[in-house]
Amino acid sequence: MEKELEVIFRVLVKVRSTVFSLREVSTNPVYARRLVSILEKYGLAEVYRSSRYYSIVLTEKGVEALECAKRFAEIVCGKKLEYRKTSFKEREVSLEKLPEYLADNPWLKVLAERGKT
Amino acid sequence: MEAVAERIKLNLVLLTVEELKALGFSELIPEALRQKRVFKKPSPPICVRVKRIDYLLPPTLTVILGEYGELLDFTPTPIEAPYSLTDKSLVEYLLFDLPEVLENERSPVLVRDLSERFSTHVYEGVEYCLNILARVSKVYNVSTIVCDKTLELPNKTASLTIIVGKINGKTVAQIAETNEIFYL
Repeated sequence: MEKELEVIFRVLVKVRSTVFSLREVSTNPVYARRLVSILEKYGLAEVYRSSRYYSIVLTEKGVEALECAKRFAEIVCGKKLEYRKTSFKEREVSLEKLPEYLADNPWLKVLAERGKT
Repeated sequence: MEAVAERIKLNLVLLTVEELKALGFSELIPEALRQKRVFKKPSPPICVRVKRIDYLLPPTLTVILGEYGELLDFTPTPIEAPYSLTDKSLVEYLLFDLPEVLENERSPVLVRDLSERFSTHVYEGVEYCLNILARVSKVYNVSTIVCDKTLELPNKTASLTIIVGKINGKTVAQIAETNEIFYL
């Protein structure tokens, strides 16, 4: 387990984004796939495969671990390692409440009518 | 009323607190919140590939803007919101009928020309439908795609935006978030 933790830490310090390709993990594709499978095993990343390439997307847990790894690097080196947050806002969509800009949405009245019928 | 109640009970993870209130089912809110807390995404994610550019869309909401016609070839074929649905019927379809379809068989979802489907409160209607589709993606772990020629950026909900336009007379598709460009 310690070995795997070490591998995960190394990958997280290396990647510069919450979505990345295999090449960013390692130039050796076989080795990169092995490292990514460890991330998957711990629920840190989801892997989407197409015929040409792999896209690796960090899960919420993965992003949290990434923040920790970057923070660790900052403490040790005194330099902040920036990473690019990508577009996967999907993870921020709330299932509980509508966002503020939709709270007074006139289309909610449609639902009110449906509820009465 | 009973039929509506039954469908709502099946749909508690997808419906927000505000929607349950609007529907007159406030008593179901505690149960809905409980279900949301223990909710686990179904697996595996169902992604869709845009064949023309061999680009795999993740199980989130993607918006394709501009002359999207050339990108309409997807694998697997998504369920498409019928073109006849507009205004109220479209909102109801996305919120009540589509989840029922996805309960039976998870599949990617496609909605075309969203902004043309509303005759009143267009902006609110579009944003509301995008929010519903983003939630559908999250609950069923499937790709949802909105194609629209006139929708304006930025919108608040889409995870991935593909813009189809022309550069030096050549048609290109650009992934807005990564700046990747594909010549069509």
